Amino acid sequence: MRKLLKPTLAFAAIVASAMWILSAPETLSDGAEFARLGDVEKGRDVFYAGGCASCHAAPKAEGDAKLVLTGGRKFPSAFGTFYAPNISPDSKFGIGNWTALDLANAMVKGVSPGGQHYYPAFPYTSYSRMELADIVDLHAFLNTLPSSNEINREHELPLPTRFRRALGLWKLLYLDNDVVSGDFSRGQYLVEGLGHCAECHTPRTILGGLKSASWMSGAPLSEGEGRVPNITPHADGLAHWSIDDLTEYLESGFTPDFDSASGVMVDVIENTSQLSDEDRLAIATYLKALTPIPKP
Amino acid sequence: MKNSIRILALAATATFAVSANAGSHNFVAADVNDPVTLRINIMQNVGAATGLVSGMMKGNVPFDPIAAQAALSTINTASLGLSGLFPSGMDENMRSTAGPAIWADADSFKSAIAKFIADTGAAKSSPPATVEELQAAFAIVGANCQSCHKAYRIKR
Repeated sequence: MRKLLKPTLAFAAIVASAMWILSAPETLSDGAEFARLGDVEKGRDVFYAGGCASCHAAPKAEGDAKLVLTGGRKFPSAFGTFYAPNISPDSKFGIGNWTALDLANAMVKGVSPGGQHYYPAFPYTSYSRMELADIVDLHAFLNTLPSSNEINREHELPLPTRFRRALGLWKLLYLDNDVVSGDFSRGQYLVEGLGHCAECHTPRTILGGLKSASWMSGAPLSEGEGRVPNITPHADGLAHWSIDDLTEYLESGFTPDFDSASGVMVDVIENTSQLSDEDRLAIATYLKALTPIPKP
Repeated sequence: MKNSIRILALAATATFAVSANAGSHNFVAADVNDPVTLRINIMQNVGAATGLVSGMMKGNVPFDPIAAQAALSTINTASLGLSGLFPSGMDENMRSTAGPAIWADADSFKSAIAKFIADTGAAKSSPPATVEELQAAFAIVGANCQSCHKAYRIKR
């Protein structure tokens, strides 16, 4: 038995070192794209397509108050309770000191300026597909918003989830770092990337990653009782919706039966109503082209 | 028992069919003893009236002041009947899209219905004479759909 102890310890040490190396936060390198002055108007479109205010505005904020990205909204989940941080341009309490590169590392790599992994309650698994130029524009737009000196609330997490470094391993499983290039359609870019639709409409594995085999087919609501609907063109999803029905819904929130959006989707409609007709059409066309999958 | 199973099935069917079945309402028999079936029917009627208003606002249906007034009145009628139709503690509630906040935050829910009554009452009592006036009136009335469904309705 004693004879085995040494090799076992050595093996454990090797595994631990390998895990440590594999879980290291990965970041983007600085480049010419980040030196450009961001376009505020384009950044505004990115802001609404990405739905930033839906999570980062103060809980229950309405109207102009939704532009004060004070944070504080609560996200209960199977892995603990997360609180959205202040991302207003306040240099002390918000992200006013961030460069466009910092914002890109957060959104595409899920890594903070201090080199820590973010929890995937922040949907970088979708934003990872963003074009860096869009992030530079978004950075410029965010800097035009009002500051807030709200202090960030600590997440309330059980012990195993508190070990942030382990997220590096989680990212190896679930973070696809491929940045979308020009040959992806606009609709796919908006749905899979900026709009991060799958984060709610796709069920998750026991480790909290998206189940790609059930892509967009609906899932339990993570924040409480209820379900998120199937948005594939299956009979129990969007099969009966025309593209016009979908663009109307994304603009006004009314379904073909003049029922209205409910729950957190009301916030999403507030964002999609700000997009151009072309972008809403691109989203609708792309959703209707998804593989039809029954709800899980 | 048999009766309650039937109600459960009806409510569940309506819940899913309303969103899945474009253009055609799923018929739910209104049972005077079952508030779930009553409120589903009321909400469907609001949807039908909203469809007419929407058609006129977009120019798909010719604007008619009497029809507009009738549609707004229909929505107002719905608002007047809602408050008694969400009794707590019914198993059937689990089978409709009524969310738990209705009972957890009953006072706020009641205020939301009161606002719906006030807004639709105001729209009804100053009938729109033009499409522009209808658009202005419905902007206020329609906001109630979203705000109430955001807080008090869930999908199942």
